Amino acid sequence: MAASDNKGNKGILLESGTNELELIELYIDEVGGYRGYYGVNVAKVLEIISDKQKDAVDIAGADIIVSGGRGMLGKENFALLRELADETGGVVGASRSAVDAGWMPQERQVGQTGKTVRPKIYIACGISGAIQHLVGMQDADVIIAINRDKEAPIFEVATYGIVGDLFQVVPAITQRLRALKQLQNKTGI
Amino acid sequence: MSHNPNIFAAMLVVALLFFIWSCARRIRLMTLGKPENRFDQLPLRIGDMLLYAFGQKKVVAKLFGLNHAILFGSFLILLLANGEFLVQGVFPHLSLALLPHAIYQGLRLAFDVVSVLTLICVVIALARRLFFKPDYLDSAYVKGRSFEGFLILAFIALLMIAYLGFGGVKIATGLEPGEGVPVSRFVAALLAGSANLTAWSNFFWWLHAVVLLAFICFLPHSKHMHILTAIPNCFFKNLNSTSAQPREDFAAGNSYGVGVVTDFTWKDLLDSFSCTECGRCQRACPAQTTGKSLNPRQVIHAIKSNLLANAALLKSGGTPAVPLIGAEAEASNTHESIWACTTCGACMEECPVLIEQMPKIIKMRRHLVEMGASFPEELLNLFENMEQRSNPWGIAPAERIKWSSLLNAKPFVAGQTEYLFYVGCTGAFDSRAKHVTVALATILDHAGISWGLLGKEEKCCGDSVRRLGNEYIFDRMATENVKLFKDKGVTKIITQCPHCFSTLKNDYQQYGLDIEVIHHSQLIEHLLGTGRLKLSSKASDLGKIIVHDSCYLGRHNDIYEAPRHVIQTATGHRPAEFVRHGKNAFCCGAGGGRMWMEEHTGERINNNRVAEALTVNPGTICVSCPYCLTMFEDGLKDKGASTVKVRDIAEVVAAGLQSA
Repeated sequence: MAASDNKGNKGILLESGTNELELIELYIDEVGGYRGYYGVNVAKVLEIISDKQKDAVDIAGADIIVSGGRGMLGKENFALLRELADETGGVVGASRSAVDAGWMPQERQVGQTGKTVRPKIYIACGISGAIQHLVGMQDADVIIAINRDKEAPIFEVATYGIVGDLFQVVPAITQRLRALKQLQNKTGI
Repeated sequence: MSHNPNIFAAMLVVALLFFIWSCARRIRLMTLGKPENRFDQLPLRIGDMLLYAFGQKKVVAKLFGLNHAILFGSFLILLLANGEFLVQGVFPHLSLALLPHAIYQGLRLAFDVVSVLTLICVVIALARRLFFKPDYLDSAYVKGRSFEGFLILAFIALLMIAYLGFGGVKIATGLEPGEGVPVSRFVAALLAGSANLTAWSNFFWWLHAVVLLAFICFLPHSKHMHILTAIPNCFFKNLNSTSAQPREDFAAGNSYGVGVVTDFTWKDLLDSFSCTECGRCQRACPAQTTGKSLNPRQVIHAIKSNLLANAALLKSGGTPAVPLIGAEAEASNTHESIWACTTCGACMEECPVLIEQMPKIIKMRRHLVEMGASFPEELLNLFENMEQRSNPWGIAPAERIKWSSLLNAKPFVAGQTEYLFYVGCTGAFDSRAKHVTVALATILDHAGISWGLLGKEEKCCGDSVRRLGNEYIFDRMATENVKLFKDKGVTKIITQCPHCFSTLKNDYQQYGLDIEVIHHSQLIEHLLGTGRLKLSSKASDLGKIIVHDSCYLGRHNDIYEAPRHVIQTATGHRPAEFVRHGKNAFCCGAGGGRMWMEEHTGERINNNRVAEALTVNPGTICVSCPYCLTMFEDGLKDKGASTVKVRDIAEVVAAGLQSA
């Protein structure tokens, strides 16, 4: 299959395991649309690893979602949520403001203009709970909200609410879960 | 000093035939548009035409518009001089000199002075384009420094030079007296030494003749056709609400909205020929200002370009070859631009010749939604929720009354209750807006107003779906709501949302609802003004207050003072103003259904507005619309300025009430 880029150069579509090609140019269209890899003979392509695969998580189907909002304060802090999600077998979601700030990709967005989710457990961290977010997650079986502001509307829908600093609360929960798991493994319960 | 009248007559006939053919072709194209009655209320129309076209009211609202106003006035006066020139060119013995002497002398003086004034204005206009060109003179397809613009200015300048030159020759040769025409006499003095006055005479006469005829021929083919269309365009202005779009007739076989250019009405098409690309709408547009592809000026330009590009096919009843929607081209509108409009109405407010840009965008949205189910994916949720549960979030209708659990709220009962408090979806469901609802209810109780609710029976007004082009659902919602109001015997409605307010007041008129609809800013102003509502203290913890005009309260319904009076009474101080305020206020970004969509391109509109607010270091931004409330609070968080409060005027007033 041949495709051309916007300069009209002809390229050959790379597929893993099939073509023997030397890469001369690599095009990744982050916004969507056509993704093409261009090359001429030589090398064997073993595997194509793209950002898309990394983010190809369907939050709509997850049982446990750990979501972060503006209160996460930065992209790097989402590592805290990822740890908690890994520990619980869940996935990381985000509010619009976190997506808007570029901390999380669009496909992780929960809410009116993102995905509507119905997980067993939804953990909202640093999410105030504007109605546009609530409508995307309020049908979760259990909602756990962690927020510094006790007036935050997220507590109106939360099954369990924790008023506190998520940067202390979230790692504490993760730690506790780990400890429990280790105990389980040791005792074999 | 002679020219051959026959040669000139032949040239004139050719030029006039070409002019008439060009105009007729365009008028013919306009008549391909759908019918629309713009012939009602003639006295009002004539008045508006005098005010906006001849009075240049909106033109002079901007400083440089003065230059245009002088040119326009001069043009009207010189129309007489040029008319005389054409007639005299064919019939040399006919001239204005046949008029009584005093009148003729007066006219000569007027022509003389006005010609030089015009020349000065042309030089200023040239200088502006060359040296001080504002960015908004450029659009994607029309540049401020265009050949066309310079050509027209050159035509006008040459006409003036030729007129004054020919006048000078007549004086220099003694054909006419030099008294009373100072400029021509000055030119005569310059020419006096010339050996060949006859040659000068011929030169100026033919220069005038050729340029004038070229001007006439060129006019209909350029953006300067506005000289012919702007006056009727002002006459045919929209006399109805600026925010309410026309209804559709839902019947089998009908098509809805505008998919091809001739789906527009003839007035829409006249609009497109009236635009002279001044760029004022472009500068005012919040979408354009924040880097979106929408440019209201290009929307109009695309309609004209599309009509002309498809002219032959359209006239023969064929399908247009150039699409009106979907292509990134001069004669087309991209989907992205059509969905970027907040319906704030700033474009229409700005337009000096009263072009209606925004409704055309809604008509195209209608086509996309109703005929192609083509709309941004975020809207799928919204449309479903609106259709199934009559609110934007799909929340159960039973939850509409949750906010009132702490208050003594009663249902509306005809005969016993004076006002229906139409809470609206945001006021009923949004936890932040519920504070405003409670504040307003408290105010009503304090003032002893008899009010009631529809409770679970209340439905969404449908504002967003209508502005988003989902006219079919809106039609159903409006029909149901009007029936509900009538069945319940409602005669007066209070709203706290300008979108509900405008929809109930203006859009529902099309559905036969003609009752009193009041926005809470008006009601509170009235209650405070009449002393029916007394404040026990003045709100003092709000810091410096800046007031934001909601588009659907201000521009679309002309309510500017009520919120300001309320704030002044409640705090003792007149609020501070945005740079862009009143009629020039900048949208919060949520109107036109944009509340339910993401901004994927450029700066967020609310952030732009918040940044403007922050320049005056406010303690509180005061709003009177739940959408604006959300957008400002969101924007302040984005800007890291959460210490600045956002308050609805009802909250400011309620804070000054003694707790009951």
